Amino acid sequence: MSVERNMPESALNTDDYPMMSDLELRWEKFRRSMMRAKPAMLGGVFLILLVVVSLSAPLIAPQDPGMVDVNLRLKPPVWVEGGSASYFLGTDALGRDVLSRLMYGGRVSIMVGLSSVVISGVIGIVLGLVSGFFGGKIDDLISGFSEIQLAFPFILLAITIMAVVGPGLLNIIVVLGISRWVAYGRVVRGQVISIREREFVEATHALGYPLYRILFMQILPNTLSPLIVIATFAVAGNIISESSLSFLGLGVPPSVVTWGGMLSEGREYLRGAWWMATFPGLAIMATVLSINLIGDWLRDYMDPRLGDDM
Amino acid sequence: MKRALLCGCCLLFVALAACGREAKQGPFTVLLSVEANTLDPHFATATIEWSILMNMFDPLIERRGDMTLGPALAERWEVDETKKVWTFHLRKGVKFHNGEPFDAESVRYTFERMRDRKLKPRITVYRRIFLDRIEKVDSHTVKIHTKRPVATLPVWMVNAFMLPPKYYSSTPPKELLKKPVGTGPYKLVKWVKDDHVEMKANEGWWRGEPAIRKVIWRPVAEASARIGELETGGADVIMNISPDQSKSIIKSKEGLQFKGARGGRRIYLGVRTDHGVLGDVRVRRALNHAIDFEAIVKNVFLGHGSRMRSIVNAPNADPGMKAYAYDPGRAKTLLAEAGLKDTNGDGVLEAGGKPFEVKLEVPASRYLKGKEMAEFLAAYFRAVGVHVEVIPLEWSVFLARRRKKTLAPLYFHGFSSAFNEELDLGVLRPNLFANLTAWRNRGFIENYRRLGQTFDPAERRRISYRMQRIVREESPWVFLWNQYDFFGLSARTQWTPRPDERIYLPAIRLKEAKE
Repeated sequence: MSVERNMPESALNTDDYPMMSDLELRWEKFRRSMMRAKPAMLGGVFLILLVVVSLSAPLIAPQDPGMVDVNLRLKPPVWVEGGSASYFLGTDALGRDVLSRLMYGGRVSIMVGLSSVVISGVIGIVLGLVSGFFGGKIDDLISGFSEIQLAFPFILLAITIMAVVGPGLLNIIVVLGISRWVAYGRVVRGQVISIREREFVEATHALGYPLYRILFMQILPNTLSPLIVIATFAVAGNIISESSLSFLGLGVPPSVVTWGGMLSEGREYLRGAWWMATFPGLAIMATVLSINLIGDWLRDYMDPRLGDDM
Repeated sequence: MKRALLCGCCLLFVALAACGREAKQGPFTVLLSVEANTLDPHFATATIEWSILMNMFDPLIERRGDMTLGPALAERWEVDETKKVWTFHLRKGVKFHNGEPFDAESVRYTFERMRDRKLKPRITVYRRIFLDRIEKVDSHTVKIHTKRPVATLPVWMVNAFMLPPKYYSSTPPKELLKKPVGTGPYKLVKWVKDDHVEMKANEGWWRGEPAIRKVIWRPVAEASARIGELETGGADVIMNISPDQSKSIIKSKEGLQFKGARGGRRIYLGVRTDHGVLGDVRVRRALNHAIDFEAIVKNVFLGHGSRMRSIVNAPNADPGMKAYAYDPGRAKTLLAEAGLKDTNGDGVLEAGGKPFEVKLEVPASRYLKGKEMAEFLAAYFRAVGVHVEVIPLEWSVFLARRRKKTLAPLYFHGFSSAFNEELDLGVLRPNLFANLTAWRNRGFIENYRRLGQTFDPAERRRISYRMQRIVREESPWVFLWNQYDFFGLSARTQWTPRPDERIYLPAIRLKEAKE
C-alpha cells in the first residue's frame, strides 16, 4: 500500500523522510493530523489530565472524600470570603471536600464510560457479525430486536432496569452496556454485508478457513474505523447517562462518589451554596466536550473517503 | 421516581399559573409540602389533613396555641366518681355550614360513625377512650360512658371533629371526602385534587367571623419553589423549609419573615436493645454521650433548637432533667466498661472478636435534614470506635420495615406529640407497633399502668417525672431533638406558629396593606 496516495501533499512527503518505516510514517501522519486539530488536542490534554488525576486520587486528593464533619459544612471555595485553602473548591452539606470528591468521582465516570462501551461493543459486534454474515432468519430476528430496542427511549429503558435491579456500580455498567449495543450492531452488520461478497473473503472461504477466523480475522478488522468513532461518542454518552441516573438516585449507591450524585446533592443548595453543583457540572461538561472533540477529529481522520483503509 | 418528576413538572406549571393570578390583591395563600388525601375527618391520618380540617370543623375540646386544652363546642365537662362517665355541656345556638343545628345528636352520631363497621374509618379515638356508649341527656348535654377509666379522654377529644348527622348519613362516603361540612371558622369552596383547596370565611362562626376572608391551600413539593413563590408575593405562609437553604434568602427580602417554632415531634435514634451489645445500657449511654448535637444545631439549623431533655414535651417535662452532654471521653470509657476493645488497632471496637459495626436506617425525606443528620451522627459514632453505616430508605419502605420489625439496630425516627405526659411516655410501651426498641423495664411498665388510672394532676406529675428519669437512665433512644418547624411568612402575615405543626387560620392576623 502506498502512503502518499492517502495523504494531502503538504502533510507529509515520503521523500523528506527516507529513513522512516511504514509504521513510523503512519504514526507521523497521525501525530501531524492531531497537531493540526487544536480542539482535539485540547480535549486530549484534558482527558489525559483527568485520567492521571482520577487514577492517582488516593495519593493526591487533599482530603478524605468521605470525611463527614458538621463543623465544616458548606464552606465556600478558597477565593470566596470565608473559604479556606485546605478546601479549595469548598465543602458540601456534610462538610466533605468538593475537590477531593471530584477527583474520586472521575474514577467512576471513566470506569463506567469505558466498561459499558466494551460491553455494548462486544454484544453489538457479535450480533452484527452474525446478523450480517448469515443473513436470513437470524438477520431478521436480530434486526427486528434491535429496531424494537431503538424504538424504546434509552433513558426510560435504563431507568426501568435500574429501578428493578437496584443501584450498584456493576449494575449501571451492565445496564448502559446492554442498552447501547444497537449502534455497533447496525454498523457492523452494514459493513459485513458490503464486505462478505468481496474476493478476499471468498478466497479465505475457499482455502477452508474456519468460520470464526473469517469473521474475526478478515471481516471484523475491516469494520473497525467506524466502530472506534462510535465508541468514542458512546463513552461521552455513557458518562452523561451515568450522571443522569445517579442524579435521579438510580445510579450507584450513595456511598460511592459520582459527579451525577454530587450534582443531585448540590441541587437543593443551588441558591446558597452554588459550588456544590457547579463544579461537578463543569467536570461533566468538560469531559464530555473533550471526548466529543476527539471524536469529531477521529471521524474525519478515519473517514474512508479521505483516508486510510486501516 | 417517575411520579415525583411528573409532580414536579405539574407544580412548575401551577407555580407559573399562580404568578399571574397573584398580581392583583389576592387571597391568603398557604403553600404546603404535601397533598391532602381526604377531607373526611374520620379518614384523615396526615398532619396536613388535620391542619386543613381544624379550620373547617370544631371539636368538643380544643388544643389551644399554647398546647393546653380549652373548651370549644363543649362549654364545660366533668367526670363522675367512677371515672368512667364524662358529662359534656354543649354550646347552644351553633349551626353547621349547611344549616343543621349542633346538638347532642351530632355528638352521638359522630362517635357512632367512628366505629361504623361497614364504613371502616381510620380514626382511632373511640378505641383510645374505650368508648362504651353515648347517652343523650337532653338536647345540649351528653354523657360519654367508657369501659374503663381513661384519664387522657379530653386529649383525644381534640381530633374528634363534630359532624352534622343528616348530611353525613345521607351522602355517599366518596363524596364526603371531597365535601366536608362542619361548624368551623371556614367553609370549603372547592377542592381540586393535586392542585388546591379553597376556603372562605364562615360568617356565622360562633366565635365571630375570622379576619382572613379567602384562603387557598396549595401543595408545592419543592422547597425552593415555595421560597420562590414567597419572594414573588404568591404566598403568605410557606411550610417545611430548612434554615440553611432559606433563612438568608427570606431575611434579605423586604418584610418577609423567617419563623422557627419548637415542635412537639421527638426525633430520636431508636436502639433495638435485642441486638447484641446494644442490650447493654452502658453502650446506649455511650452512644448518647458520643454525639455533639449542639454542633449540629449550630451548623445545620443555624442555632434553632437544642437537644432533647426528656421524651415528654413541655409543659409536662420534668424541668430538673438535663440533656446528655457531648463527652466522647466518657463515651469511650463506658464502651470500655462494657467490654468493647479495639484489639487489632483498626479504629473499630470489637465485642467478642467481632467488630462493632451497626447499620443505621433513616427515611430519606421524611424528617427535616434526616439523612444529613444521620450522616453526622455516624461520623460522631465512628470517632468513638463504633462503625455505623447509614442506609437511607424511602418512607414507604421504612414504614413497611417498621411494620415487619425488620429495621436496622439503629433507626432514625420521630414521634409526634399530643402534648400529654401519658401519651408522650406511651411511645415506649413494649406493645406499641412503632416502638422497635424491645426495651422492657418493669418500673416503667408498672408506673405507666398506674398513670393511666390516676386522675389527680399532682400525682400524675410525680409518676410521669419518675418515668422520664427511668427513660433517661436506660436510654432506649439516642435522644436528638424536638424538631423545629420552619415557616416563611409574607410581610402582611402576623403569626406565631404552633408547636403541633398545625396551621390554625383564626390565629393569624393581617397587617393592612398600603393601598
